[in-house]
Amino acid sequence: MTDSKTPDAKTPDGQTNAKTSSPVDAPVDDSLQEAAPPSSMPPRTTSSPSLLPAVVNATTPPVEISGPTKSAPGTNLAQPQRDERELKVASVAGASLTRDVLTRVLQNRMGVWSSGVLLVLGLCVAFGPWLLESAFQLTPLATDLSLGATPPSSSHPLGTDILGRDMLARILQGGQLSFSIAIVATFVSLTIGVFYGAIAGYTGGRVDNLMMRFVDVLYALPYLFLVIILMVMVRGVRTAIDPTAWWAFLAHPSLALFFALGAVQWLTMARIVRGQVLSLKQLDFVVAARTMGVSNLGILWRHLVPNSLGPVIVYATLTVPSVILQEAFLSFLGLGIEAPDASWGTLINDGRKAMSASWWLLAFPAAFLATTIFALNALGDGLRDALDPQSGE
Amino acid sequence: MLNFILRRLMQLPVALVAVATVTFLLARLAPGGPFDRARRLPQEVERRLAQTCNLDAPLWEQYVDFLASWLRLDGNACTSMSLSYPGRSVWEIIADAFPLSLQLGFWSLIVALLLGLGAGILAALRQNTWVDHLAMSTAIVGVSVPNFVLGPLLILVFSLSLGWVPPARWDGPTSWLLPSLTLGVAYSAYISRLTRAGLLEVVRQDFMRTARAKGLPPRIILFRHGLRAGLLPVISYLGPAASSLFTGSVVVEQIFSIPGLGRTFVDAALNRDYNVVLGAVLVYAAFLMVMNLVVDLLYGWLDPRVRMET
Repeated sequence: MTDSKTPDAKTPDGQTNAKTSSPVDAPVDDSLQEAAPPSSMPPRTTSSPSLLPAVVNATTPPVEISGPTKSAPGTNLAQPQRDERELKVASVAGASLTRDVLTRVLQNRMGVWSSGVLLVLGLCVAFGPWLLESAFQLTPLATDLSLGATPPSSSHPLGTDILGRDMLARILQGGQLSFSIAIVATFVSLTIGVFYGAIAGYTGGRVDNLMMRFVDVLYALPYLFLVIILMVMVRGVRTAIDPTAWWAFLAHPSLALFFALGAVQWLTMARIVRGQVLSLKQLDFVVAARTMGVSNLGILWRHLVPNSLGPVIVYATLTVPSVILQEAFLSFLGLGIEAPDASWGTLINDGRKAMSASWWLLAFPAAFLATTIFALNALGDGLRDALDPQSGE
Repeated sequence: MLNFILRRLMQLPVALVAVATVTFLLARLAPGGPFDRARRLPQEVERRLAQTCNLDAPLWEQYVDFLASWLRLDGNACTSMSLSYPGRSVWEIIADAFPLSLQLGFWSLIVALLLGLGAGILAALRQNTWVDHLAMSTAIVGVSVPNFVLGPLLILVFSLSLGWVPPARWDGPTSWLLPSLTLGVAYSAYISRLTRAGLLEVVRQDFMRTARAKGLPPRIILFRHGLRAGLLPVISYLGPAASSLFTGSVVVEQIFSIPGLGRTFVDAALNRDYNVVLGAVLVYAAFLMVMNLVVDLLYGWLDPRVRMET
């Protein structure tokens, strides 16, 4: 809340108060108690007991609204301290769900560390290849057969592979592929899952039953096998078509991976969203929206979906590492990314074949992959504790 | 109860037919075939081969034939299309390969349960001590190291450097050790977290206090009362765990050169050996569905509250 609003909030009648602090919701009460010790509670809050009920009434004696607080802060230089306190309370009272979650995540040491690690990794992967090329002339594809596989040195910090390609550049570029596949696949699964689950849950009845039985059947499929078959088929299509045709990109293995992995991940997402919508649609605010004439689509989109986002975000965070793993798994089997492109999975597979002679070919890609998965899992756990405190251990 | 089992058993064939149809279409609609070679076979040979495998019939007829042969459970009607094993029936191939995958899955499950339950119980009993912290941080690391990284590392250390166990194949208890560890460790990490959380929740409940108040020895309280209720999350995790254990075995079989079903499947898919691909997928699917059913029944048996609702 800014200075310009404070005088407004301080008017004694309490009605403008209600307007400015309307986004208050129940879970904030705890943090309010911590942030504002009773003695510093400013007088203005007493004028709106309905918004901040138990805390205020129990701990502070009703204070008369004194003259100075009524005036605008700029005119009264004698009480800068009180103004500061009021600002603090006002900002806590205005905390949204996002803010609340942010504070709770920041209290989780693992969550903070892992998001830091992810940020660094993400920046390295996003800008690293470009930086390496422009500053050190290290490109992922430049071969130097005279070099062969050399251990880490000052010119190649993570060594080179059998063809003399710089490993750091290859790993960072592989990371670009792994990350983008994971993000796109998660987005695909998020979109399908949220739509499917929300529609099933909101419609209910026979439609819901039918839609969810369909999900049950899909759950029972050995989906990894279907993805493997699909990837084999994509290769077949690729060899059969004219590679210069404009639609040839549709048969690109990375694109097939996006969709194959995204399409199998949406099932759990749909179940989660459906469960949320089922319980939310019974609540009063939905009834209120309906009496006000909001259309079904409007209720679904503006009221139900945003309110079910908490678990969805948590599950999406946990989907990213599992997609990265599955991409690596498929590339490891030789069904994902094709040479000369490299993902972490293909790098690990190459490294495995050469590991007894050149350990760095396996160790570094594996370390990058494991660190990423670890950080994403830890962040997902932290987010789950923050967004859904009940499920915490 | 019987009703529930019957209903689930009725769902099984529907799901299996769905799996069969999807796999069949995916496999057959893509270009390429089992007899593609770098050097093309003579036309006459290719035509004859297609004829023996019934590949020249219209697609719907092949589909009906294929479904019918599986409905009769007549495995001999389908033979491998690979030229390396001419005329070997799909049944024979699966009968050779599946037991190896089952053994691998079984031993990995044992590894996962032993390590996971042990670490979880220890961590719960010594909550917030160094034992607890050590067990739980090892668990997070265990989840983050995928099996295709762990496997090569284990081979590097225990067979190539130390020479304690053979680096590959599946012939004898010493060679079982590394593959089972590779596959089981990630699951043991999950299981230990579930065990710890489940036990900690149960410890605070009334019936545990009653047991303590009766003066029962701690061991009996833990094993007879605590574990039975605290292991419910673990049991419900076993269904998905078993299914991913058996699909995860694809990679482990590749790393350790074990001729199990997963490896057979990947090879067959790459070579377009349609009959073997379909057979392997159907066997896997049926197995997973039965496993899920067993887990659901086990859950109801352990937790009477669930039984009441079904």
